Amino acid sequence: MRKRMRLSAMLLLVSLLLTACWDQRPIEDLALIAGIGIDLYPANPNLLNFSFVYPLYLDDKRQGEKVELIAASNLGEAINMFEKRNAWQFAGGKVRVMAFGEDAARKGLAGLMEYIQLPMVDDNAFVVVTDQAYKLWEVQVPETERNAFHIQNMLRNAFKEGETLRVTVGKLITEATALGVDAVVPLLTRPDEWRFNIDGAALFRDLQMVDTISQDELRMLMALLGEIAEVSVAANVGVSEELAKPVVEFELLAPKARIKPKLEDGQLQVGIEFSSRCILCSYDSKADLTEPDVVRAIATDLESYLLIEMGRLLTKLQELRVDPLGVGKRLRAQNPKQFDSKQFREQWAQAQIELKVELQIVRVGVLHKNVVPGRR
Amino acid sequence: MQDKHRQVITGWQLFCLTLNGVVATGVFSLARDVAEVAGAGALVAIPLTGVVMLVKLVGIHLLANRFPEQTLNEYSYQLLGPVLAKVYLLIYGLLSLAVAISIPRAHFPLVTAWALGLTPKIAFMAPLAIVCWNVVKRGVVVTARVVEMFNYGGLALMLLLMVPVIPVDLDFVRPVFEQGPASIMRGIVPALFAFSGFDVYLIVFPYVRSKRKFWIGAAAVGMATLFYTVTTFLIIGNLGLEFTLLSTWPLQSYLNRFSLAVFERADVVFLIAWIFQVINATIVVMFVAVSCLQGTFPRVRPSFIHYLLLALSLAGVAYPIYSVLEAQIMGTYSLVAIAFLGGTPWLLWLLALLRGKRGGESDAQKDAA
Repeated sequence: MRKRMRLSAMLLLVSLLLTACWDQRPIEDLALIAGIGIDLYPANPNLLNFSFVYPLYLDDKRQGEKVELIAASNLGEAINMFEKRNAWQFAGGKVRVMAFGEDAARKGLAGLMEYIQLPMVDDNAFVVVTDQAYKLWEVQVPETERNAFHIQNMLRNAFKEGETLRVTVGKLITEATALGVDAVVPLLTRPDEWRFNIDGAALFRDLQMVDTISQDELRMLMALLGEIAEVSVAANVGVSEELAKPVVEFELLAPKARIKPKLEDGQLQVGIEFSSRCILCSYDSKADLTEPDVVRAIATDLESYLLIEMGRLLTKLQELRVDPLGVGKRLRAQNPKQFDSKQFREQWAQAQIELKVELQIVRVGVLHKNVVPGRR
Repeated sequence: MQDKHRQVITGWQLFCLTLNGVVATGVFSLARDVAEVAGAGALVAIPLTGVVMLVKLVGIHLLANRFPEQTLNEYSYQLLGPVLAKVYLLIYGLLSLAVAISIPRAHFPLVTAWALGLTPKIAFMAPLAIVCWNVVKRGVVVTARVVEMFNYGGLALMLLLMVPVIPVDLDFVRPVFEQGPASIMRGIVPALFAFSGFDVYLIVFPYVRSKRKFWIGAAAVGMATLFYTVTTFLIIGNLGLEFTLLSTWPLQSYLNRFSLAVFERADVVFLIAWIFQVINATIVVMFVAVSCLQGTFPRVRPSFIHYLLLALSLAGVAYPIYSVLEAQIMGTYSLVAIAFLGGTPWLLWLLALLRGKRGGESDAQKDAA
């Protein structure tokens, strides 16, 4: 009997101490933040203008989401102010998109980076750079959609279709902190008040955005990064002897770039061997694509096209002294004694790059599978 | 008293006890702690620590195997005499108790930061200590069975964590010898704490019915080494060396990057599931502590020892210490504990060898039994 009494007392004590008593979080009390925008605060450039967007599931169904604007010096401070102002608790585990306004991105990622030790938001949230981040939440997308979800789906689909990179908060933080590699973030534009558009990417040097690249340049970069299964390219090239260059659409399948940096007498030399299988999707010409020689000639032209475009991109990256390809990271991994993070940017700007491109057309269109050289 | 000499523990249970005594909260910050000293050389320093621990296991096995029918409580009296044996066992017991307290204490800041921000420390750790104590006071059989039961879940979690779900960038983990061999050797020191806790092998040795005890213990240490090495490889390969050093708990930051349809917040799910591993490790170390305290005070009633252990455990988990000071104490403690727990079995074995002491058929206690 005494034992049972003791057991009952202990069970009661344990049930009182159960952790859920203190940390219960009813979903009605949570602001499930879907998107975070970070801009410069116009009245005081030392502050950041955080825009938190969260869907309203219960209170007001007609208004799909609510936007809260808070001026603070960093994310942690903004979250504290948000919770003081509102009855809801900040829940950052479901953030879909984190958008940086271009001015804020050019100033640096400090507002976010101060809080990377304990993630305040989901590391898998997509990151974009846009003109003004808070205006993203004002775009009139269809009533069934909420902007942050819409942008997330758009970025995810664009990534699957080989149109853009998948850059998450986690990836951005790693690339911003790691030595020898710089971050690239998709650029989101608003052509009008009803639409979003992915248009190129923003280049970062360490923690600061320095410039942008166009969508075509981004495709070349994606091909060189080799992280994408398919990269769609539409180019004006054709069989060399044709005067009017036809439009060609082709897809690079599992592109790979072997980047071999080495330092000789203080001069950085970078060998890049790019190879990919390729599907010729569309070829606007009367050339007979059933002939292997014609296909081979087209492949040569496409190689020349890629060589020129990739060369242009690399020159631009060198001029900007940014290294999104991770040449420095590779140099450090292969020859750690040669890598000096302070001198590397200058070495990269002066680097001699030897680029080789090799394409293998594996299919023409959907039907003509047997025209590929060597496959007859 | 004679019951404890019966071989009631299977080889698998010995594996569970040894493994679960080792793997607990160290894994959350191990990658950062070792990489701070050794850089990417952490991937060499951790396996080397496993080798050091294997050497410790050899010492423990040689000592235990010399007295196969007796526990540490019994043969330490033969080897050291009553006074020294009491001191030895008391230190052994208190160090094990300190590990039993430090495991939940190390886990609590992590739980607070990640999931349970409002729960007071005592509400989290007191029930944990009571549960573990309740298992331990029931003896070796219940302890082994409970640890075995929890081990199925813990082992599954370990194996899951070793699956490279997120792509690894090999450039982040190369070259492992960038910091030089001296740094790698220094990296062994912070890894020692994560590897401590398998002294239970020495305590339960006479109860094990398997004939391949050493290989079972070695397999458990090997499994812990593999687990630590692979997780560190995945963490540094995914987060990058610089961010691993910046992150307070790199494992949680790594898990935060899992994006699966089944559960979006793998870090929180893992943290909740891992509490069973923390309980398991605390049980094992607490069992060592209570066994040694019983050996220190053989004439005191076991129930008194049990309540003393509970009181000390609750006081230990509740006592407020600044986190920085706690980290310093744990850092110093781990070295002292490793030196004592790793070195003394070798010394005792040497002493037994020199004095020609051996357990078995000629042993007085065996004859009496």
